Amino acid sequence: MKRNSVMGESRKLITPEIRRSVDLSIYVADRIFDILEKQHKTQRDLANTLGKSEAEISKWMQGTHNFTLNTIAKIESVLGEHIFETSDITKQKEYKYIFIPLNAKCTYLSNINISPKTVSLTSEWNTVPELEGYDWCKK
Amino acid sequence: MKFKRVLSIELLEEYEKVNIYSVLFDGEVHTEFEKFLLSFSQSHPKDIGTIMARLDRIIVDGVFPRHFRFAGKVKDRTAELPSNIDTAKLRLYCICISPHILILGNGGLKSTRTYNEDTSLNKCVEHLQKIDLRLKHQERTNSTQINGKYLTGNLSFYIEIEDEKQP
Repeated sequence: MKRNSVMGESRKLITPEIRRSVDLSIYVADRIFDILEKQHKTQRDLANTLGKSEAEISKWMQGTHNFTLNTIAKIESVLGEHIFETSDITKQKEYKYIFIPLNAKCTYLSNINISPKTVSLTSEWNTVPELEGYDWCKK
Repeated sequence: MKFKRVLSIELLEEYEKVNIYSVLFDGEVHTEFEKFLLSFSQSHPKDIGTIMARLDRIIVDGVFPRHFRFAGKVKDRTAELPSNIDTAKLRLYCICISPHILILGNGGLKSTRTYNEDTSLNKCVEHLQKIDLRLKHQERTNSTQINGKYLTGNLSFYIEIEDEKQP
């Protein structure tokens, strides 16, 4: 596919910080847009609720605005939804367990020819499944 | 004094979702967008980097009108690609043809409240408005077609401009 050399040279001016800043700005704007669409609300509705002008909301939606955390929190409370997905903030840990045959010894794992099964679970204590013929040790 | 300026719409870059075009005036080596980049890359590297990063997002996501600031009259497709930096004064003007086609023009440093008050920026926008008007007419008469991300048919025509000086 066609590429332009002048544009290619100009792309070298995109630092990781610039790239990330642009991506985040557009992400926030698009999330607000998607939530408003989902709730059948308009930019005017959001403006009225926040006590802002429509022009200001329109500027937010262009994906150029540098939002403060306070503003994002305010928007989230008004819309009743998170702008950033919850899993990004409070990511659940994944626990991996290796299941080894019951007649094998955990301590000398490296000397034993076993076929471990690995299972990923989100709860550390409560949901270790039972596999017939296998015991488990946490990886 | 009005005179005719012949131009062609040139494909700059092609991607899966979006094609980027620009305007090449007859007798010139570079398109309007290339001239913009060459003019400001050294003096305003951060602004150019930001504009290029935004274009890269458009290339992936598509051309959404809400990501632009519409510059001209209500019915035209001429828009400004705003920079991310609140204090940046560099402006790039373009025509949003469809979710898959963007025609990039020229731009410059905005030192006035509106672009109309700046002779150079006003010229950039006016040229694009005339190109947009001409393209719309050609789309209606089917001499230019929009095929997905491609502009096909007659992409070389003239517009009448006021000044002898180049934009």
